[in-house]
Amino acid sequence: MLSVADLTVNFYLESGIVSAVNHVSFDVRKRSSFGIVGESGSGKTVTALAIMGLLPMPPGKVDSGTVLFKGEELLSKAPNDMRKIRGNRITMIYQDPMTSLNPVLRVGFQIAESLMVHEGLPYRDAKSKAIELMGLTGISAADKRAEDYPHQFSGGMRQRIMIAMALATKPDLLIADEPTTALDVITQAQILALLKRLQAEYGLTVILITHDLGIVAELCDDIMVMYAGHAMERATARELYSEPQNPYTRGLLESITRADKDIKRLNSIPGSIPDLIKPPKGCRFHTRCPMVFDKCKEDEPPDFEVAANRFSKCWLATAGRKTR
Amino acid sequence: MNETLLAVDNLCKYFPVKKSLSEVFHPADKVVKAVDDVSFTIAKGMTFGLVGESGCGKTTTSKVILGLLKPTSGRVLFRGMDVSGNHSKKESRQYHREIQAVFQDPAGSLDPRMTIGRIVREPLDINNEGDERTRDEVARKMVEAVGLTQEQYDRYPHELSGGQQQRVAIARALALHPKLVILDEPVSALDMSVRAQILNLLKDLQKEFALTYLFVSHDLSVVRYLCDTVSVMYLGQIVESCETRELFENPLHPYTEALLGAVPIPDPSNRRIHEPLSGTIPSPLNLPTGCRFHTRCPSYMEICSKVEPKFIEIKSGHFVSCHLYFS
Amino acid sequence: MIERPGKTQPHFRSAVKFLRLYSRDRSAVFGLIFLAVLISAASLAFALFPVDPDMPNLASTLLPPSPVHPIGTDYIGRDQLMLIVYGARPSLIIAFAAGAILALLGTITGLVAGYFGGRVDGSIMRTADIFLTIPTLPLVLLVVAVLGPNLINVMLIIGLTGWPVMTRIVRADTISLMKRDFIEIEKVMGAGIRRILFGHLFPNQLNSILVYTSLSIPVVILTEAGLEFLGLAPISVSWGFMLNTSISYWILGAWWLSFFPGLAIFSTALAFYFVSDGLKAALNPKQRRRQESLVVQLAERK
Repeated sequence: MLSVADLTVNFYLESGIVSAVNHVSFDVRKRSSFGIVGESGSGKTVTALAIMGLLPMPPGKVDSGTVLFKGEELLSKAPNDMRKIRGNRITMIYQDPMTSLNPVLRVGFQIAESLMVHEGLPYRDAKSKAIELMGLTGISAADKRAEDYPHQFSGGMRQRIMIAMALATKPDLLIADEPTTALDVITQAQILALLKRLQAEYGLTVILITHDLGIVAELCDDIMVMYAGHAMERATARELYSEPQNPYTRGLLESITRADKDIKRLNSIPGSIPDLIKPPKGCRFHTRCPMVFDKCKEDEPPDFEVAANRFSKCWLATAGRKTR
Repeated sequence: MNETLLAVDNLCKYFPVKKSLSEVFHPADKVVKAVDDVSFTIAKGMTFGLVGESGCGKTTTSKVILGLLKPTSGRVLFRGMDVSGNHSKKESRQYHREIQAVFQDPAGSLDPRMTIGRIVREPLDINNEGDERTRDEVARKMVEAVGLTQEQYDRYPHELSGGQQQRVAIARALALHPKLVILDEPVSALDMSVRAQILNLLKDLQKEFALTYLFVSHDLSVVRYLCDTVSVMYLGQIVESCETRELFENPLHPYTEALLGAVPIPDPSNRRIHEPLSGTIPSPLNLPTGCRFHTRCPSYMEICSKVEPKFIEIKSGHFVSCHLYFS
Repeated sequence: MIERPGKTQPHFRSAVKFLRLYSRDRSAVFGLIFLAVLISAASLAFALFPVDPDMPNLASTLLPPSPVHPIGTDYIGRDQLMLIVYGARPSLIIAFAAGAILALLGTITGLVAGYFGGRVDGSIMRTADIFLTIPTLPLVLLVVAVLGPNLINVMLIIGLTGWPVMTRIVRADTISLMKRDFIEIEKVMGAGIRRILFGHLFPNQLNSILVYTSLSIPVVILTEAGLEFLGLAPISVSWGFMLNTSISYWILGAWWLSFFPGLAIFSTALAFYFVSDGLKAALNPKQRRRQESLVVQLAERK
C-alpha cells in the first residue's frame, strides 16, 4: 500500500538546519496496521506530514526519498492532485480533537464536508451519511447530536467524530497521530477498540503514531522504532518485543514501567535526546548506547536486514549477529 | 507499624459554581464536589499512591494537603496536628515546610529568570535557614544529590532538558529536608527514555533522605513500580484501597478492574484490546444517586442506584466501597 | 525536552543578542538614533544656543528658512531651530516622567488585581474602566484648570490618567503567570505575597512592561502637545505652544512656524513608536518568529 524509501526531511531555520528525518525507509502492507513508535524529536510526525504533503515547505524540505502510494509517487505530485488524495484516499486523525475541529460549525456538517468535496454529494445525502458514520463510531442519538457543536462533546466523543470524518470517504490509508494521548485510560481503551474494529470492518490500512509501547503492542502488526530522526528498527510486533535487535529498542523495553508485572528495578537509559540541529555524528544514539564502539561515533549505520523483512540500524546488527 | 505521618479525615472540598442569569432564581446552589468524604493515612517512610482519571479529585486532595486550598469540611492531620484549619500564618508555615511538592510540568515549575542554584536555594532563603554561605552549600549538595553537576548550578532552566528540569524541581523540593513529598504526575510529561531515570532517582532519594511520598498519577504502571499502597478514586471518592500487589492481583471494585483492563500491555502475545467500560465519566454537577459508579458498572444491582455503599475493610488492609461485598 | 549546549557569560551574551535582534528592524534603529540625537541636542541646548530663548530679536521677525536661520524665525525674531531644540526639553521630560508614572501605577494595580482576584480585582478594574470612559483631554483640562498649569502638574495628570491601559495588560499577564506551576510552588515553600509579586510575577513581566510603556509614550507626547497648544500649559518654549502662536500667522504665509513644530511632534512620537517595536522584537523574540518556532516545535517534538 505504502512504500517509503530513504526519506530525509530537513528544516532550514535561521538558527540552523534541523535534521528531522534522516534516511528513513519502511513499507506498509495492505490491510495491516503499522506502528511508528518514538519519543519527542524522533521525527515520527514529520514523517506522517511528509506523506500527506502537509509539511510547511518554506522552512521544510524533502531532501531525498520517495513515497509510493499504490504505486504513485506522492512527493512529486502537484498540489491540486495531492488535494484529491488527501482527506480522500489518505486521511489523518490528530492528537487534540479540540483544536482539530472547527468550533463554529456543527459536527454533522464537518463530517459531511469531506463527502461533499471529494465525492460531490449534495448536502442532504452527505449529512445522512455523516449521521450513519457517527452511529458507527459509537455516538448514540447521532441524528440529534449531529446538530451539536464540538464543545458540547467530551474528549473521547470528539475523537470519535474525527474518526467518523476520517472514514467518510472510505480511505485506503488512515494515519492516526497520537490519537489517544490526550484521553483518559478508559476512554483510550474505547477508542483503540473502536479503531481495531473499524479497521477490520473497512479493511483499512492504518499507520499508528505514538510514543506508547503498550498501544503499538496491542494494535499493530508491524512496528518501526524511531529515534532522533533515525529509523532504528523495523520488525513485526512479536519479533520486536520478544527479541529486539537494536540497543535503543532493548533499552526502551527495559526501562518502561509495567502494569502487568512487578519490577524490582528499572534499567534506565542515561542521557537525554540530542539536539536535532547538531545531532551526534554517526549513529545518533551512540552518546547513550551501552554497546557503543568507535565505528558508531563516526559512521551512520545503514539499515541492516537481520532477517526477512527485519531491519536494524546498528553496526552490531549484521546479518546473523545478534546485538547482545 | 510505622508512625502515621499524614492522616486525612473525611475531607470534603466543594467548589461553588456561578449561576447563569437564567438560574439566578434556582433554590439550590450548584457545587462541584471535587473531593467528597475522603479518608486515608500514610505511614512514615512509605509511598502512597492516589490513582484515578481526570476529574476524580486526586489533585484537589493533594492541594488541600499542601495548604493551597482550604477544606470545606474534614481535617488534614500532619504528625498529629491539624494543618488544615485556620491557623496563624506562622504556625501553618512551620508545618507546611515539612510538606513539599513536585508537579507535572518540568519547565513550568521553574522561574525562567532564575538560575538553577537560586531556584534550589529559594526555599532556604524564604525560610531564613542559616546564613548565605550555608544555604549555598546545602543547595549545591542537593543539586549533586539529584544527579546534576556544579556547572549546571549557574545555568538557566531553558538550557536544560525536561528530565534535568524535573531534577531541579526535586532538588528544590528536598532543600528544606521535608518529611512528606507530594509528587503529582512527576514523570507524565517526560520522554520514555528519561522516565526510568527520574523514577529510580526518586526511589534512591527516598532511602537517602528518609522521605515519605504521596504519589498522584493516572498511570497505573508507574504506580505499580513506585507505590506500597494504592487508593483508587472516582468522582471525588475513594472506591478501593489496599497494598499495591493486592490491587493489581485481586482488584475488587468493578472500576478498578476496568482500569486495569484498559491499560495497554507492551506484550503482543497477550493482546486484550477490548472496551472495558462504556460511556463517559458523569458530570460532577450531576452526580449519580447511590453509588456514583452505577451508571457504568457491569455488575449493577438495583440497590446500587439507591444506596451509597460504605467504605469497609473486606480483607486485612483491603478496603472497598461496593455493594457486591456487603453481606 | 532536548538538551541544548550550555552558554557561558549569560549577561554579556544576552546584551549582544539583544542588540542583534533589535537591529533587525531598521525603523527601530532609525527611531533610536533620532531619539539619541534629540536627547543629546536637548541636553546640550545651552551649549548649542547660548542665548536666552525668551529674548526677542525684533530685527529678524518672521524670516523664512535660510542658511542663517535653517528653519526660519518666529513672530518675535527667535531662531526656530533654537526653539525646537529648547522645546524638546519639556516634551522629553514629560514623556519619560509621565511614562514612568503611568508604568508604575499600571504595574502595581495590574499585579494586585491579577494576584488577588475577586473583589479587589473587580474594584480595580471598574476604576480603570471609569478612567477609560472619561475622555482624557477634558479630564486633564479640568484638573489643570483647578490645580494650575505647570510642568509638574501636567506630568502627573498625564501619568495619572494613562494607567488603565497598562493595568489591563499587566493583569492579564499576571493571571496567565499565576497559572504556571512555579507560583504555586512558591506558596508551598512558604513565600509571602511580597516575594511572589515582586520577586517572581514582576520580573517575568519586565520585558512586556518596558515594551508597553514605550508604546504609550507617543500618546503622552501628543497629549502634552495638545495641552500646550490649547494654552493650558504655558511652558514658554514648547512645540505645542509654538503651534498655538503660529496659527495667527498663516495668513501671512509663514508656513514654517507651524510646519516644523508639527514635524517635531510627529517625528518624536513616531520615533518612540518604532523604538517600542524594536524593543518588542528584541525582548520577546518568541512572538516575532512565530512561524519559525512552530516549525521548530514540530520538528523537535514530533
